[in-house]
Amino acid sequence: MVVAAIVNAFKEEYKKSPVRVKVLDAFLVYALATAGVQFAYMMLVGTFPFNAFLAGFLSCIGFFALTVCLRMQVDPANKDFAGISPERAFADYCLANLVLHLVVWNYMG
Amino acid sequence: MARQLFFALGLLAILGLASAGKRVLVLLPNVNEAEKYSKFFGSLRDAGFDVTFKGVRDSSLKLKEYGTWLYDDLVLFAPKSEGFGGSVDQQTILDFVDSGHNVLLAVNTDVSEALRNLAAEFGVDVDDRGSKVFDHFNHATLDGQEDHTLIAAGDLVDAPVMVGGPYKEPVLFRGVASTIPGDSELATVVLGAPSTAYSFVKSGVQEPPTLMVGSAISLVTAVQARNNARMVVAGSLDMFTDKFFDALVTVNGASSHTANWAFTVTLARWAFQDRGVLVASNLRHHLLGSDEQPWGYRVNDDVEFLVDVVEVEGGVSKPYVADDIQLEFIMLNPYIRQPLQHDGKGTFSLRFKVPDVYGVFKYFVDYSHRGYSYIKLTHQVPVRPFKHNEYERFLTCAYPYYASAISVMLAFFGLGFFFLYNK
Repeated sequence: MVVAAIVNAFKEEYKKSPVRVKVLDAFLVYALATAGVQFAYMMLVGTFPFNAFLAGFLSCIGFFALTVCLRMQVDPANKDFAGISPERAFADYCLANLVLHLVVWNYMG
Repeated sequence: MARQLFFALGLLAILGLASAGKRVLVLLPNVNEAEKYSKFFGSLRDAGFDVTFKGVRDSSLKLKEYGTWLYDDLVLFAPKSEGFGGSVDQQTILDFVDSGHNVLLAVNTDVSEALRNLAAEFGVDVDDRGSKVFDHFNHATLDGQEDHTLIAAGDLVDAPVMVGGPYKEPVLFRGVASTIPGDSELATVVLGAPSTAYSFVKSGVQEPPTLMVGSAISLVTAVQARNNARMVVAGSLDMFTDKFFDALVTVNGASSHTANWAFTVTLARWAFQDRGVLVASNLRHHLLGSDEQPWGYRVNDDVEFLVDVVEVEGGVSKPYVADDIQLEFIMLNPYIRQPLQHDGKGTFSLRFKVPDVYGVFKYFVDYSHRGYSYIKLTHQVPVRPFKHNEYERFLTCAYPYYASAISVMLAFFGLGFFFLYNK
């Protein structure tokens, strides 16, 4: 009963967050799901091209981490990053993603 | 007149060429004894051999002069001789064999120690002097006289190239037994004794039981050395006489002729390398789809190996036909070991895939079929691993990973679009 009350309270509060944040959350879920699919595939067929597995897996996890950072900086409810404009946050995000994907494709082989 | 002279010279030259490789020296107790074996040597002469008779104690005897051998084959028909005359001794005969020439040694009950030693050097253990092979069940009656040491043997080795076609008549033998080790690789029993035979010395002393009984006794033994020189040790000198060739004997009530003539002449021709000689040549290998011989291969290449083998009989080469010549592709261990296929014209070939291991391999053919000369061929070939651009570019089993990384990039692209252009 208490769990249901907590979940309902969370859902009510969550609906109040801006659209931007909710869309970022959707992308976060997608990245995690893709990582999960890759992990399940690796468990099934073995680790043969291990570099390919790591590259794919870490591209999802890296993207997840960077999107979390963007969400933190862009969320208006978050007071720690008040001095940073959303545009600046997005520019940092783009740069970081560029480096991430460069590394991912180099390691993929 | 000049034409006739030229014709005679030409004929002599041709004869000289034909007898190259066929000079036979026969050592007898004295030269007059050659008449006892007139049919045997007559057949050899008909086969193209140039036969010379000398006494074994002849002081002018020499096998070698100024570094070249005067003869190609040696026949020793003097079982009692304790030594040889002239410059011939046991070491000379062993050098003769080491240089690729052949020896036919016949002994009988009076075999001397010198000839027993010579036979031992060849790998054949001849029984003691004075011992005879007896058989109370398979002996023959010759000229009305029953003789238990006169063996009618029929147990020939299964190699027509050595002894000739299947014989209906027995081979007549009277002499001394020999043995070879059971695991001998180079010596073969050509004529084995019947299982009811045994070797015995009739002396006044109680003899311990002999080990030479039955099928352990070899009556005629053939040895082919690693350099393909052949030595035949026959325990009965009488086997080669005209008397035994023409004999009409009674064995167990049945009367028959003997197979001695055909058997001894065929065996002698085999011994003098007139039969059963294999020559392997023209070893070549190439990648399938190309004709040139490469310096080496890459792992997993498809290659073909070819070699030509001819059989020489009476100086005439004909293509060799056999299914059991084996090729090994070996680097410390044989990775490939398969029989070669022949095309009926003497070319043996095999197609195979180079194993998935790199290193220095060698082709190895090691053929020793009973009655034929040995073929030993090796050829080294290096095998290299894949170059970095010879691997597969994209692995099928990694496609999910490629797909997920691409999808993450597309997700980032979509996110950027939304982030920048959404109000």
